[in-house]
Amino acid sequence: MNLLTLALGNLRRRPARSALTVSAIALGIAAVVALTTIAWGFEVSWQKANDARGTDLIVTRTGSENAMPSPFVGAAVLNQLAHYPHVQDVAGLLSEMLTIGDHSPPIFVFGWAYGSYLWDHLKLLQGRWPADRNEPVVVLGVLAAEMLHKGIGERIELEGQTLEIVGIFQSSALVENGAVLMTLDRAQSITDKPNKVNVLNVKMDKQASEADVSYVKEQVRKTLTGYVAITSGELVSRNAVVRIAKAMSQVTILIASLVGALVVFNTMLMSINERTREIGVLQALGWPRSRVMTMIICESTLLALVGGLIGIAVGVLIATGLEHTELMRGKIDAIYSAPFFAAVLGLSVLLGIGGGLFPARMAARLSPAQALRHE
Amino acid sequence: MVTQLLAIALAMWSLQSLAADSRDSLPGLLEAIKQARHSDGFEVRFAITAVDAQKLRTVPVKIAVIGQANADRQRFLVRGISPDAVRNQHFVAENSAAGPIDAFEYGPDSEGHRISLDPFARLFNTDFVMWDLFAVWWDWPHQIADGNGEVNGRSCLRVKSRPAVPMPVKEVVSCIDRETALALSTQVYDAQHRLRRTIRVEKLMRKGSSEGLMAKKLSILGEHGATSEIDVYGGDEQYRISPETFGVLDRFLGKAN
Repeated sequence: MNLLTLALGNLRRRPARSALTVSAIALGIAAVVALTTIAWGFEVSWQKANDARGTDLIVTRTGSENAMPSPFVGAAVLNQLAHYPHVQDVAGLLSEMLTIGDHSPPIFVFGWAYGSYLWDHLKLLQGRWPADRNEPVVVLGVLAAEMLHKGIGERIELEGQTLEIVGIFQSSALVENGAVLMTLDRAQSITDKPNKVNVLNVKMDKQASEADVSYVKEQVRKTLTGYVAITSGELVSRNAVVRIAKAMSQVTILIASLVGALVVFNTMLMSINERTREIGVLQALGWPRSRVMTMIICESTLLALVGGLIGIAVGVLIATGLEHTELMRGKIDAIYSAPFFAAVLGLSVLLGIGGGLFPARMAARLSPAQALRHE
Repeated sequence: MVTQLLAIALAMWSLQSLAADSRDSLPGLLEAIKQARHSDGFEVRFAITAVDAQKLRTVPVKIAVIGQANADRQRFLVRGISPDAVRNQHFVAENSAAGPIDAFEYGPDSEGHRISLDPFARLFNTDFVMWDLFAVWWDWPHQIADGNGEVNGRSCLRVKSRPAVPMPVKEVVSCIDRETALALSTQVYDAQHRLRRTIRVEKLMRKGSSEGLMAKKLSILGEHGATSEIDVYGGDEQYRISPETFGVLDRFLGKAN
């Protein structure tokens, strides 16, 4: 009988206690997995949306940390940006979270400059694009069409205006698939923000180098007071919601780790107390202290590993469930990656080793005579 | 150079300290409240859901409020967005230097009539009252600090405001957050000193253009246990007031060319 089967056998002797310990660890790990994948997913889905459009730099107001940066009049800034070297196109974007009809959850509504490069990455599945900058029509992302149960030719009401759906599109970014899209002029009219944009998207030409991008950033900082040029990654990571989600995930990791280690510690301490005579017999039979310690740590690690595996599965289920809730659908895209799961399993193993270390040392320090006298 | 920078830093710190200190006195706080209301133009869009005493909820009514306020004049335009029953119903009102409020109602064709801005007149079948937008009670002569209070975990200073002459509203009791100069709750009492409504800020959010806070969710508790929940879902803190924005008001007031 090797150490692993011996450890498994020991855990099976107290199935209820082992199951409870595994459940506690699994719950902690599930919370870590769900929160972390969603926090990352929120960040990545926004970054994907910006990257998919081919945007190299985003110009917005300094200090805008809301999900949607404050709107500003874009024309003067746009004209200045267009004159910087290697700038191929500058396109305004206005976005809002609006409800459609009386009972639907809020949905992203984007207004993009008509004829700009922003539209190029979208794949039109049905219908057509808006025919001019003022046409009172919208195109829906494939997920938005599904959520709203709407198709080509039907109408939606947005901020008191009725608009015809003329197209359904697909994007590589989930945020866009779950959005309603129209021309910038139409969005400005609907939201009563004439000439305003939330951000200006800057596309550099193919010859532009990293240094050219940095130059534009520097010029914006020097010449456009109150504005900042940043990459999509910088914009997303500065977002207050992303920062809060990440902080929450880090706190959860900390709490789950502490609770997990304490649960394992307690379980192993109880187990050793019950098995003092058995450990004494093993030592009397010639088991070295290191082997006793290894056996105990093997047991605690097994508990934590099983808890970790179940926790990952439960966490993925929770995150997937949240992604499909009415409120969150089309807004978050949980990110699952093998390295992350490996790290979570590694954390579980560490919890097992950490929680089992002290009880294992206690068991190994028992003298056989003392242990055999234990009642 | 270093000395100059230090002097500037010290002066700025002193100014900030003075601003914070001035809010410790009631007159200073009242001045800060009035200053915080000043705006060259703003728009706020919100959805109001009425919840009756049996917890039955109505279809949300979406409203846009455009405003402009300075020491001499306040004017507001309230526009119904949805549902159809309220769409393009407009209410526009102006008061200047603590004078009477001129108010008008008009439809999509810009034809309308003068209305009396009653402190108890509810708009769009909700508990939203346009008179509240003017917060005229801050200009009343009797302002009494009434101890500290707490609204949703934020401490605030209770201030009782009473008019000089008999009015339909006898008293307004506000609870002011000293830090933001924002009324976290406002209680309106009628001439018989019956509490007619309580407006509470339920959730705050950071302003997009500054470090200040503004209301994200509010509730208005009416007389008979009914509540209106107000959810601010959009707007523009630097709305550009065009000649057309208050053009109809100017025409009604005979100011238009």
